[in-house]
Amino acid sequence: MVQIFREGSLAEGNFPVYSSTEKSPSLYLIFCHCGRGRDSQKSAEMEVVPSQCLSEAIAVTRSYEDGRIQALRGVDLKVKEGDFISITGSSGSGKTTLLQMLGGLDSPDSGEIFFRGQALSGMGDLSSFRARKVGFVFQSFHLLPTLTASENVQVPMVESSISRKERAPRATRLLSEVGLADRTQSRPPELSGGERQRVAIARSLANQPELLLADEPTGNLDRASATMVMELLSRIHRENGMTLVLVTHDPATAAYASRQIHMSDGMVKHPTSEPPLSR
Amino acid sequence: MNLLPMVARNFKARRMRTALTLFGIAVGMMAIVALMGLSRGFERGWDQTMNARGTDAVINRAAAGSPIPAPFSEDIAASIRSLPGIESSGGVLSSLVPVGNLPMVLITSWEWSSYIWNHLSIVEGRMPQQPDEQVILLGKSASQALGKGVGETLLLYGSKFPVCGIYESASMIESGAILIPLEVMQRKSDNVGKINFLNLRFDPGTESSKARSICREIETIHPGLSASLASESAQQNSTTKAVRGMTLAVTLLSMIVGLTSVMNTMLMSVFERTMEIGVLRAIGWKASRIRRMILLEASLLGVAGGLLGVLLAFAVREILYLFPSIGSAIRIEIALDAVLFTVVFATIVGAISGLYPAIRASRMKPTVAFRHQ
Repeated sequence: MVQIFREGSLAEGNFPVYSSTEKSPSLYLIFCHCGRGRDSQKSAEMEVVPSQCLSEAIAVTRSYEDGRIQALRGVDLKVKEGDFISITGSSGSGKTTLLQMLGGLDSPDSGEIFFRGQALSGMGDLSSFRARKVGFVFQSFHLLPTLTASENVQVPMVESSISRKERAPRATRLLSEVGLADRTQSRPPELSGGERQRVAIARSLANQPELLLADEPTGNLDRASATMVMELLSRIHRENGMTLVLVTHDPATAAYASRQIHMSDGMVKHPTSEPPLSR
Repeated sequence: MNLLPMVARNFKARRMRTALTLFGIAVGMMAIVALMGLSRGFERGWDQTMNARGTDAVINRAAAGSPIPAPFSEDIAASIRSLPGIESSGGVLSSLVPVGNLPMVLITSWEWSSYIWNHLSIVEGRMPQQPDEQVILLGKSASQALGKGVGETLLLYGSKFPVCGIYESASMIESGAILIPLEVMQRKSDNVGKINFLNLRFDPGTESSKARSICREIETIHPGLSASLASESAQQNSTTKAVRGMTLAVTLLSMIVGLTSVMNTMLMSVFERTMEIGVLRAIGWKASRIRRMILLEASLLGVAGGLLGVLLAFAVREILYLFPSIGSAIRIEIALDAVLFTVVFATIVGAISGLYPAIRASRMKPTVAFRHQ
């Protein structure tokens, strides 16, 4: 079976990537076109997606517990640079699993995830990818309780090229940007839920990622704090052009996104714009 | 922001467990330091004794299994004495017995008119006047520990012995001993005509190679005896060997205790911080950095446990010295090399204990960690 993208024509620097699937009944021949300036063999079979494509999931499947739980059943999703996408769906619909796939936290059983045209499966250790390209915001904040807000923001910087001298001032600047200039030395237990999530957002921006992934960022917050956090994420998207994908149960939170996707039973059900792929 | 403050905060956040782990390591390390100090103290005391007497070589039964070797005949001593190169000799019969309130005191007796007597200085009372006079001399420390002075009596071997004098000696061992004329000791301990050490003094200017060859000659002539230079005899002494054996056993035991204690603590810590480690992996920390963090924690527990053990050893030594019965009998000399060995040993034990938890932590997948929540 051949997977062909609808849009455009072959662009300079795009390259084919082949992925065989063990668990899928079909063998997919997948082409990704999001690459930037990478030498590759052009293929006549390829069609092209817009050059601003940042991250892409193609025919991704993922199951747990020896296949008894099918979290993703051949999901396709394309995230363009500057997108603000919300993924909604009930518990167990696969939205968090998809987000984890996009962020390189988990690997598909079959299918492929691409980032700027490069297959994550070919990157080996994905730590560097996660450290430099992706920022994560979690529902439960996941700050280190023993560290100050500033130190929490500096934690991802140890895996970047940011020098030790630059880290603290940079953390202070990021915390100021999220409205916490006066809480840099506070520890997470001393902060409110909204403040903790803002520290987590500052941490996610520590290494200037290209893609920000937020898993239920307002899930543990009251309405006022949730609004504040969503306003902040929207501002980061708007002012910095940050590509943002968030997973939420909450329609009000999802409404902040420019593109909403609904998932059910491990599949994308109602993409509201740009159906990503045809088979 | 680097690993060290993170590790320090982790310890601080789990104070009680950290303290208990440190204490567990420290007790073992304290025992190592104390035993090494005891061995060194004994060697030093022995060396002091030999130097104070001016003894060049010591002869006793070979392969002696106890601190006080079995006696041998004075006749053998007479034949050794006649060998060329030997200026003078002094037979010694010693024993360790409970006296008064002290569980163990060194009773020693020296051949009458031998050179060994020369180094003693009487600070109170007098020397024995006859080779068979039933009197005793007390070393200064022994006098204090026993609470006995000149004119008082001590019950030894079922007989009352008047204390005729108190002496001072540069040797700590002698200072804590009771001194009896040899003939009296032989008679009272059923060892008539026997000694268990023979102290030798070589002719002045004897080279050490010559001294060694005399020792070898003695051993050849008398296969059941061991002859060693005074400077090396402490290491040959069975007490030193016994303490060294105990030190080795305690070191191995401490290693096992330290390994299990630190590994248990680190595994608990890794388990408790599953989510934290998962988050660190999720935000880009490499597996190697997680490993380093856990290993650093485990090693720091080892270092701190080792240092605490050394401090405890000093404290325990001072407490032991408060008891005259112990203070007069043993010296614990804590040397720098023993301190360094212990701290390095504890650090290595800590690091090894951290290996498995570190590997386990570094292999943790972020998504698995999140599900753990």
